[in-house]
Amino acid sequence: MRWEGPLLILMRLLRAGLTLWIVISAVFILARVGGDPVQYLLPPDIAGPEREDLRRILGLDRSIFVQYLIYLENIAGGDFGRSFFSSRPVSDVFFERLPATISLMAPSLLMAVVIGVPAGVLAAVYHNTVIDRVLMALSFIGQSMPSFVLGIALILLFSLMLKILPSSGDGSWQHYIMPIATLSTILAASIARLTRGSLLDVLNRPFITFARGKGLPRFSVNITHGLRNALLPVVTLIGMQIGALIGGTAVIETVFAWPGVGRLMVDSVIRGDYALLQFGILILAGTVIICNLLVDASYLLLDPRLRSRGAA
Amino acid sequence: MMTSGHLLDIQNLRVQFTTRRGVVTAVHDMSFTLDPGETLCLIGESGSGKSVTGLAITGLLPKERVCSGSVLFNGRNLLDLGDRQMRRIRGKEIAMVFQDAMSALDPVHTIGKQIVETLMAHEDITYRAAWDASVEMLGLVGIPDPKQRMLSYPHELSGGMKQRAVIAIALICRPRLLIADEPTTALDVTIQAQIIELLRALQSRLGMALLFVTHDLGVVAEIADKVVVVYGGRVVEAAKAASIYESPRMPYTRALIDLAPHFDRPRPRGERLPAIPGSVPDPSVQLSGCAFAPRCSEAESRCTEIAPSLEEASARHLVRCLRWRDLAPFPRRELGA
Repeated sequence: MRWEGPLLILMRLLRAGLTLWIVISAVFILARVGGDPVQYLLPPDIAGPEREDLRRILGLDRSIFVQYLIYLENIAGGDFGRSFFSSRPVSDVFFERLPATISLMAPSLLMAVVIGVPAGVLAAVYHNTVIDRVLMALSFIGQSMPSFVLGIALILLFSLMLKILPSSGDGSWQHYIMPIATLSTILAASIARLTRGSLLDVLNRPFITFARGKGLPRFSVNITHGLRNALLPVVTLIGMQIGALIGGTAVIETVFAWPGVGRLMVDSVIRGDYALLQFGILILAGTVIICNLLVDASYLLLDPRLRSRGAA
Repeated sequence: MMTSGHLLDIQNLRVQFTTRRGVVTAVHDMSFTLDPGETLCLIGESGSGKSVTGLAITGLLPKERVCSGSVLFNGRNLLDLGDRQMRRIRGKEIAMVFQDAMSALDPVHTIGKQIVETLMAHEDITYRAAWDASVEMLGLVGIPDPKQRMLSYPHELSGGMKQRAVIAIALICRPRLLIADEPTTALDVTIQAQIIELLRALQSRLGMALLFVTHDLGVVAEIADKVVVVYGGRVVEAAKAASIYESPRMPYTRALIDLAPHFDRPRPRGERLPAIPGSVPDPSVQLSGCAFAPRCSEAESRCTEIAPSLEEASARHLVRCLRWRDLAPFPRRELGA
């Protein structure tokens, strides 16, 4: 029994490592199926021999399998290669774009939680009333609308028609409003729906009737006993959304011409910049895996039953 | 405002649920009274409306329900009270203990927190003082090492200990009425006896009235002063406990007594557990006659046509049966669980 906890953690880490390896390999193969990067890197009028030289410099003359082994070996040594496009180390190129993405994601996530959770609680507590119906109708629209549609609609309204907000770039605080509004609307909608569903489940449990029977105030019944028990799936969703957000920002960053990593990934696909693409995907996958581990760890905080099982 | 000398005086309580299929009456014209220090057992099979009665008294039924009649508690009609006023009575003057202690406790909070919050919701008291009072109450309900148990989570306690903790929460404000809805059903037999004993001891110590909802006649024999037998949402027999045991009038009550375990009449090995044939009537179906008639061994043709009313068979012994005068005396049974 004493070994169960550490063993569980070890298993989790092994699984995380395995996931990363699969992601790396899949991206490696998919990128190479996509076409010849030399074609994108050199103008069409450059002759054959120069093309072969570049291919050799980039290591693309060898078989895919050998390329793969070299790639794995380099990663193990901490060398992720250089961007085919700019010749700079991929990590430099990637990380200088990261702050722009985080400055979108973090406030969006915060907004989504601050709006989504209370909206879900209100809908559940006022189940089957006008409040519930209105909130759920709004969240249904928010959830089913693709992010680029919402983004473009906002640009049309606020930039082109009302001319009060800039449509693209990241020059001032006004530039943040529409991308954050777009991202957080969609997130808040799914958080509100899940919070409502999970809380409705909990509010039907006998301990809620007992809590009411104790004469506790409504807030205490609904929040201290209700929401506190309903949080587990909500936290899971938020953790998974962080991962989805990183990928999802690619669309939003493209719509608003935001200089973040999402757009960088899209660009490197278009340019055939394998090395940069591989590094980007590796970091994104790593972030998702870390978020999942953090979600698992947060279960221990939220549910004492899991805590004592780990400790026993 | 009506006044009555009783602690709890229920008159013509009717509980109706609005469902998709229409209005369903779960409790029909229920009446009984309870005095301080007294124990009343509400007995019947599951689905007979006895739990709904308990919930109706405390106003814990879902919003879709409609209650009529009156539930006088200390002369105040609880059915007229608003949510806020009702909340001040719940947990403070009327406490409830439910069937399943496992699910009555919130799994993510400590036992201590769950008792303390109850006390603090009703009394102007510091956290410290509430904590000390809670430790004392845990000791009173027989939980060993109460200081430590305050910090335990529900899943760390056994079933019996959990039910004791639930009782401690219910009693922390020293209520004048405790409604216990099958508080021992989920427990094994030896623990059941301990919990019953505990409730009885605490009842006389705190001088509270006990409304005990059960289907177990062995328990009833041990604790009841009065018995109200419920069938199909109606009172079918009501009397002092001794009177019910000595001369049960209603065939349904007789059948229940026959089903209870008897020490003097051990069941032969291999014989099937006895049960009343048939099942509890569907409350959404309107019956013209006696609700028990389809399952009754004494039923005549008129039983399915004429609805019997509650009649006084002897002093303060009410029975709802067309044939109670014709039935043979019931042989005396020794009960024990």
